Amino acid sequence: MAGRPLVALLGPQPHGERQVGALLAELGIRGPVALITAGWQEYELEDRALRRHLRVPSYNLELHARSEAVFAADPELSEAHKARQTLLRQIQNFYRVRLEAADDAAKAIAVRHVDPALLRAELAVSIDVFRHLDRDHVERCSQVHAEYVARVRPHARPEVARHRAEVARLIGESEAIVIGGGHVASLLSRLHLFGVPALLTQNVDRPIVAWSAGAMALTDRVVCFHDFPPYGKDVAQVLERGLGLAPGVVAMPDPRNRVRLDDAEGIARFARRMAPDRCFGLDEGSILRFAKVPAEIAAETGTDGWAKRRAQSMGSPVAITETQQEMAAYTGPALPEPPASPEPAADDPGSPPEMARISGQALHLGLDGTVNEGWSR
Amino acid sequence: MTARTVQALIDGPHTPEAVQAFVAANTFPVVDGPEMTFVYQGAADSVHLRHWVYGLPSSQALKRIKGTDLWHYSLKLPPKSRVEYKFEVHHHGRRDWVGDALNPHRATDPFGANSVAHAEGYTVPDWTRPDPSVPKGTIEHGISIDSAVFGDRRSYSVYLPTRYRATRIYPLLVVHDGHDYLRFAALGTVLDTLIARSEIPNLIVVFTSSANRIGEYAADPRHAAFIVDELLPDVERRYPIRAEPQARCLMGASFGAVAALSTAWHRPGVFGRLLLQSGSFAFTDIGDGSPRGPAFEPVVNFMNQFRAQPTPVSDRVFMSCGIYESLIYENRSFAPLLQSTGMDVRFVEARDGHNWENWRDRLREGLSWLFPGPLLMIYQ
Repeated sequence: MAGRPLVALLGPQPHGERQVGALLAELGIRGPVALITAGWQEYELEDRALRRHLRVPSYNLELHARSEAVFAADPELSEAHKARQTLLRQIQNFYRVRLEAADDAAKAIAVRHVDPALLRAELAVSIDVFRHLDRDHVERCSQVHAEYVARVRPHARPEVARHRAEVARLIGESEAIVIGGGHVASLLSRLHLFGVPALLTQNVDRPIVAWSAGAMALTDRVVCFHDFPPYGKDVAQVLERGLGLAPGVVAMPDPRNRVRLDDAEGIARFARRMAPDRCFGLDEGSILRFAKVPAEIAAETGTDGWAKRRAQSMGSPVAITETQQEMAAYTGPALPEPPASPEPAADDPGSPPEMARISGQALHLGLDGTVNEGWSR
Repeated sequence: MTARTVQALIDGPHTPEAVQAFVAANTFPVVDGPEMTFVYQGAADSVHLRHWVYGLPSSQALKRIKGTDLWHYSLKLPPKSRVEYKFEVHHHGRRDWVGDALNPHRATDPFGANSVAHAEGYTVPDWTRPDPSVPKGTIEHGISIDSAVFGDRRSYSVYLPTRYRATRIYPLLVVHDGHDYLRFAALGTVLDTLIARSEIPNLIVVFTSSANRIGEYAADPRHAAFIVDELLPDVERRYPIRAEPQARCLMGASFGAVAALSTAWHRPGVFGRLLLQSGSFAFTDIGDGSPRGPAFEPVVNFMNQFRAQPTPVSDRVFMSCGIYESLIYENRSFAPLLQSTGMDVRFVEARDGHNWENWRDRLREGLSWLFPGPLLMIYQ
């Protein structure tokens, strides 16, 4: 298993997910493969074409259907879940209002006729405003999740626990895990409800192949973006923490239809806002492979490492409780103050991110606003 | 300047064959860059173009091409303009307003139908056209409710999206003149299409109408009481509606927009979203009464009161107005006033008039801005 790519992020799979099947074959996977299509919501089980293209035995973990069953059987949990979703939606709205104001200010400042050195300094301040808003938003969402877990203890509720045990068994029996696209918030919610983040790091020798929303869910932060919404314009926004199994990157599926790739200034601003994470556009055919040794990923970026560091930061003993483990799956380690935004110096795609080595074809969005195709290392 | 093809007919032979060939070879009105040439064919003593473009004379005489039964008139229209019109035909002492028989495009409204001219660059939005591949929601009509406020029995209709589940909770949109929006602005088709595209979320839509809209929609406090104290609780009893104001929207056009705004003003904090199209926001800076007539007096009183002390009656307001409407002045002056209260306001203008297809054409931007769909969340 050593040296075998463990986490692969792919772009959209509009033609029957053939790339996924080819990748599994390349990895020598013969099945069974555990399939997660919870992002498709009610259409979760319309997976016949996908499973045919995987070309190996597979089974769907049915996380969306399981969640419907759990909420039907546990109305108290259902109400608590809805209340949390309402609160998160409201927080996201307020964060978006602040982002729009910050975006308007950044654009107004960018066209001022002043000394270039002063303008550069002011643009750096503009980026820092975004970075602080992003960080604070992630922390606020993490607090909402942590409070929910501590109060409601979903993991301990009988129906949830029963499904969790089944999901754990199914993942344990699989040779690889495949996570599809769809509604990224819905996907993340179901992954957490059934304890999948911990299972993915506990079963570290199993490759994970994910595309689009699935790819986004595996990163440190899930960033939602669309430069061409029907209402004219939108500002990219951080949704919440991801699972942290694809560290150091911002996954951006379908960039050619969602990103103004000819807007060098906008791209530079975005790339600097997300730094030190690198922004990768994942078109159809793109693939980012993380070839890190499995134990190192789990220890440094997975739930175990996060839980321990969070517990330590809260003054708890290192032997953490199940609830703390659960909270940590949402919250991750306490985020440091963001460093000053990087200057748009010459981009250096040759330096790998600290946590993992990345190779593969994808659109790399540089700090200087350039978009490099087929970047690889 | 007349369109080149029309000028060619004017300059050339005026034989019946030439006329027939000209009619067969062109679509009408004839668009040649910014020039739009209206053509009427028929026996007449005089023909006038009647349109509703504020800022242009409302009646313009067509000229007859000598030796033919063709009449023409050209005017310049900016790109992407959309204009409704009729011909006023005088013949043997009669005066008739008729549609353009050479132009198949019609727009209907409660008063009948008008011909429609599309300037260069205007296309009917694809999302307003029925698409058999788009799943359809359902509309339940004739839901009855007793109104103590008005002392009568009223009915409303409800749209449920195709993926409606009683176990979920939904945003709510209440539409004034809702049944007219369904008939004349393709609102049902628009909802189905925008939901299918994930541009708006699954939502529940209530269509309400009034038999006395000029009275009740003119900032009548009873209307606000009906909406908030009677209609809304009835909808909440029947359907799973989200409770927070940000998930509730009032919508209307013309007097319907006044009704939506005044309801929010009388009952702030209930509806966090407003969609106001070509609002009849008449006001006076000085003096009494409105040049628009007595029906507007309660509106003017309300608007003067609001303008004197503007308050944030909602969170997010989408306003639209046609540049060719007389109300463009009122709407242009009202948008910054609303913004000054701290509400999030988007004001959109269109090269169109006070009509249902103008309101239809703004629905995608308005609804998706007020209720962003999961497009931002969906990555297939």
